[in-house]
Amino acid sequence: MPYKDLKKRRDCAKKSNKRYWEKNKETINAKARERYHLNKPPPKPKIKKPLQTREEKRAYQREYYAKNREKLLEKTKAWHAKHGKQWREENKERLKEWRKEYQAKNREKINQQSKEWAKKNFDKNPEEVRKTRRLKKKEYKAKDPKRYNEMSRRWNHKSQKKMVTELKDCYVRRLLCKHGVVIDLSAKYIPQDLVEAKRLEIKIRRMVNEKRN
Amino acid sequence: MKNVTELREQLSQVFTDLRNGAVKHSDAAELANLAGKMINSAKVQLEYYALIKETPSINFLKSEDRRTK
Repeated sequence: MPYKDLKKRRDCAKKSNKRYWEKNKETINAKARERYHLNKPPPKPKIKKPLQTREEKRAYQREYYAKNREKLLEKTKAWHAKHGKQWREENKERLKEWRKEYQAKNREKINQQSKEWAKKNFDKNPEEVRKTRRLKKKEYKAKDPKRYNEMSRRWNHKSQKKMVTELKDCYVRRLLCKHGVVIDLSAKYIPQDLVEAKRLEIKIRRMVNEKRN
Repeated sequence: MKNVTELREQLSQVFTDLRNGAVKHSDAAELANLAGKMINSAKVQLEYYALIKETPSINFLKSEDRRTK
């Protein structure tokens, strides 16, 4: 993209001209000699107009990127390998601010993406997913313990409600373990068939109560 | 009803009948009550085996599929 600053533009042009001259010395001289014999004036230099509007600049950038994508990526990779660490250390606070701004702007998008990632990768690498969850939980707890407690209470209440309405295995097992005649059983002693029979019994009881009311 | 699987099948049939209105709710309640008693008796047996620290061998909890295996 051409520079806005004239001095810089001139310097850049000089450099590129020099490079072009060194590459194509012989052909340029031959053409000049030809022109001299034919008595032709030298060609006018092509001067690019500086891009004025933002849209023009963007279009130019896109076009340039599409043309030289791989080259640019390699360049940036090389730059990061050389100066990335240093730059990150120098601009730590700026990076933090940027990150915060981005997170505030795209919170919903980030949350959705992370959920999708966890769903996709849970089977592949469950330990890593659990680890990240634990870390996030810790961070959240340290940040705002009051809110964390409130949210966890709400979540627990919600999950309990779901367990009772959907008659999950753990809930039915807990019911069977409670109020034992001799001792309170632990859930591992109860076979799955008994749990399913109990579930059906509770379902019938609930339906009967509904019909009575 | 000789074992849990039969009890389950019976209960599921009662549940579908109750939903369709083929069984009175009072009858269904009685059946559910009876099933509850059976489950509780099996539970007491399980408690007994847990107390004496033995592996339970209760015929009511052994389904036919498992027996064949």
